Formats: sequence, structure tokens, C-alpha cells
Amino acid sequence: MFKKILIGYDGYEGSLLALEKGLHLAEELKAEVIVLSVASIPEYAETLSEVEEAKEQAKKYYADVLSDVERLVKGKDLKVQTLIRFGKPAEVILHTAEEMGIDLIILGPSKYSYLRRRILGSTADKVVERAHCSVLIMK
Amino acid sequence: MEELWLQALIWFTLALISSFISFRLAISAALIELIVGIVAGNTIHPKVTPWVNFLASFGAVILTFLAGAELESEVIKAYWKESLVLGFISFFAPFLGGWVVSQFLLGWDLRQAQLAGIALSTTSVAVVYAVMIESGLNERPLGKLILAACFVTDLGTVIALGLLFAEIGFYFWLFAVVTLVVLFILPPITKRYFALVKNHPSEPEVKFIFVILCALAFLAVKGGSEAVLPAYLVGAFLANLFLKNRELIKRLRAATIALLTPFYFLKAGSLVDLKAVLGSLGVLVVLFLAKTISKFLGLYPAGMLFKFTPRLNMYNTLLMSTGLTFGTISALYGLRNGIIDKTQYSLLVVAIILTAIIPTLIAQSLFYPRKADLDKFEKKTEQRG
Repeated sequence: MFKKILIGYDGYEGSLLALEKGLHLAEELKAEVIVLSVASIPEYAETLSEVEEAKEQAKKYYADVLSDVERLVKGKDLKVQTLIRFGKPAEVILHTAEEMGIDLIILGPSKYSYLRRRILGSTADKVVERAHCSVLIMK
Repeated sequence: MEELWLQALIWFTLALISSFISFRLAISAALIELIVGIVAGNTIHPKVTPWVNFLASFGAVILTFLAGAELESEVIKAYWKESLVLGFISFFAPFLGGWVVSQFLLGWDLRQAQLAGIALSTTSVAVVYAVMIESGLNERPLGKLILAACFVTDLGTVIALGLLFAEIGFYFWLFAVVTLVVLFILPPITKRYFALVKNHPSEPEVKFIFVILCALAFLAVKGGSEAVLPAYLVGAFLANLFLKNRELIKRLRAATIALLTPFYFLKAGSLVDLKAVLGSLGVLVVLFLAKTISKFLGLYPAGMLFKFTPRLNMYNTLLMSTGLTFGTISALYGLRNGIIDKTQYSLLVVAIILTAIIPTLIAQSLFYPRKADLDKFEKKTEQRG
């Protein structure tokens, strides 16, 4: 049914749940998995070096976060690729999913407060609204 | 004496609030500091004392130096034709558009209209770069070409700001000659000096740059020009040296962002009169459109000339319509030198903030470059090259 699954992962509790369940589901379906971490970089920056520095810091942080994937995949018969991309999480998830021909996106619940979600919206809401494929929110 | 500490407390608290908001929203401190400055300037009215003025002016000079020092000469060499054409048009079209609209539609006098043209001509390299990272365009030839063009635009802006209002006399020529000589001899001297002091903990490299920039700033202002012109040129001439020494840029940037630029952006924001802006919303829209439409009229046909696909062409045009730091530096220069009044300054700064936000949002949501467009453009470029 689903051949290529994208799992959004940022190292927080909710997304770890999504990662664990997503990998389990992918194993059942014999689907290929792409685990994507999206790092924010400062918008409307003052200097290039500010952006570069934020990028380097984020790379280090997410390289560490994505080591969870290796641990969870160990011993499983799964084809998994990890990716670190930069920008607004919802936009990057949507563009990556389209670009890579994903047929299911799996995300965790939002880590932000109800008030912040109401004002700024959540990544999950934006992805559900605009994705070209099915979206599964794990709780 | 306690008054000094009270004022320092107020400004640093504003800087701290800006940093925290910037951290929470993942938006650069520069934009937040400008907005916090506007709010503070229209409510608690922090005092712009001489030391605040110094820190703000020095912040602008160092920011401009850093912008020049980030220039990648290899990229400009690789795309010199496209970057020169796009960069020049990106400067000249809005400069002319902003000037004509301000003088003939808004009724500003010649110098005010020219200043408006310069403030609206800018493109923010850093804003463009941050947007391109999201699409991965920064790694591809088109992204490098756009960045190179942005550097050319910045150069046009600082040259115009440095020369258009200069009083040509003895001190101006002294400034021009000394700057040319310094630019010529500085790279080898700096290389030797850096090798000699070798990252000593007392930061002799940073202090050396400060001395050069202060000396040229003094001469520039004495000669009736503007301190950011030599700062950008010195940065550009030392760029290759700094590219090999990224750690030094990092240290210089850390010192600048912690102590200097908050004063620059907060002060620039605090001088904005919101009542004046709200009372002239029509003028604000005219200034915003003068910049974006003239950028479009200049850049879109140029993009067609270089065989950009329509989607890429719109994306490039919108990205190059963004502006922030150099735009506010130009507007503040105009206010400080009595070229424009506070209402005109306020309208220009708010228009510049809008040009940082609106074109970026449109480019990201409607003209995000597809892989197919980029591949098509690169294939065409390879065939031509």
C-alpha cells in the first residue's frame, strides 16, 4: 500500500514515538523509509556568517539526534535514509515529500502549547492541509 | 553617573528581549531589534545619547565590513557577466524608480528623492542566502550566481551612498587617494600581520581591523562621504584572507552582534515615528511598490536574457527585491545628515522592513524552485558554456 514513507523527526518525545511506530509500520509494509530532520535557520539574517553558523550548529545537533535512528533500525530488515534539511519545517517536509515521491508522511504531535498552535499554527496542521499524499499523526 | 547605567540598562534590556524573541521565532535578531526599537521609540522613548550613537555607527560600519568580507571572489569570477548585469540592474532600476517616484509623485526634493532611491535600491545578501538554503539553491550554480549579483548590488548602493552626497573638495580627494592606496596595500600587509600575531588571545587581528576602519571612517566623514563605503571596500579586498580564517569572522561577528549591532538596529527602529507612518500609509505603499515594481521591471527581462525559466525568474526577482541592513543604513545616513526628515525616514524604514518580509514570503510560497526548473536551467547553461 505505502512504498515510500517519510518520518519527520526532531528528537523530541512526540516525534520519537512517531519514529518508533513509523519504523514498525514500515517493516510491516516492507516500505522504504526516509527520516527527515528540519533545522531552522534565522530568517531575515544580518550576515551570511550568521546563517552559516546557525547551519553548522544545527548540523551537529541533528547528526546527534539522527543517531537514534541507527539504534532503532539495528537488526531490522529496513531500507532507511536520514536527511537534514533547513528552513520552515512544514514547507521543507512538503517539498521533500513531493521531490522524493513519498506516499505517506508520519509526524508526531506538536510540542508547542495550545496558544502557540492557535496563533502560529502547527507543523502537523500545515502538512495535513497541504500534503500531496496521506499523512499519519502518531500519538 | 547613575543616569549612564540606567540608559545602558534600558538599551541592553531591549537587546535581550529582541534576542529572546529572535530565538523563539527563529527570525534574525536584526529584524526583531528594528521592530522592538520601533515599539520602544514610540512608547518608552529610550534616550539616544552620544555613546549610543557611537556604538550604533560603529555597528553599521562593522556590519558593512562583514558584508564585504563575505564576498566570494571565485563565484563572481565564475559568473562575472551574469552577476554584473543582474547586480547592476538590481541596484540601478530601483534607485532610478525610487528617485523618480519620490520626486515626481511624492514631491520630495532632489536630494531626498536620491536618498530614497539609494535606500530602496538594496538587496539583502543574507536574507537571500537564508531563503536559498531552504530550497538547496545555495549549493547550485544559479544560487551562486544570484548571490554574486547581490554583492554587486550592495557595491552599487555603498558607492552611491558614499559619493552622491559627498562634498568634492580637498578632504574628499584625500579620502579617495588614501582609500585607494590602503585597498592596494592592505591585503599583503594584513596577511603578514595575521601570520605574525597568530590568534593571540588579546585579539590583535580584530583590533587591527577596527583601527583601519576607524581611520578610513574618519577620512570619509571629513571628506563629506560616508563611513560604510570604505568599510565595504576594505571587507571585499580582505575577503579571500577572511575566507581562509572563518574563526576570525566568527569572533568578529560575536563581538559585533553582542555589543554593536543591537544599538544600531534598536536606534534605527526607535527613530521611527509610528504616528507619521500611520498618517501616510498611501506613501508607504507607493515606496514599497516603487522598489518592488522597478526591481521587477529591471530584473525580469534580464533573467529572460539569461534563459531563466519563468518560475526561476520570478523567484530570483522576488529574492533580489529584499532589503534590510543597507537600506536602513542609507535611511539613517539621510536622517543624520539632515537630507530627509523624520517622517520620510520613518516611511523609508518601514518600507524597507516590508521589502524584507513580503517578497520573501511570496517567493517561498508561490515560486519555490522545482528541481526540474533548476536542472533545465543548468542544462542550458552547460550547453551555452
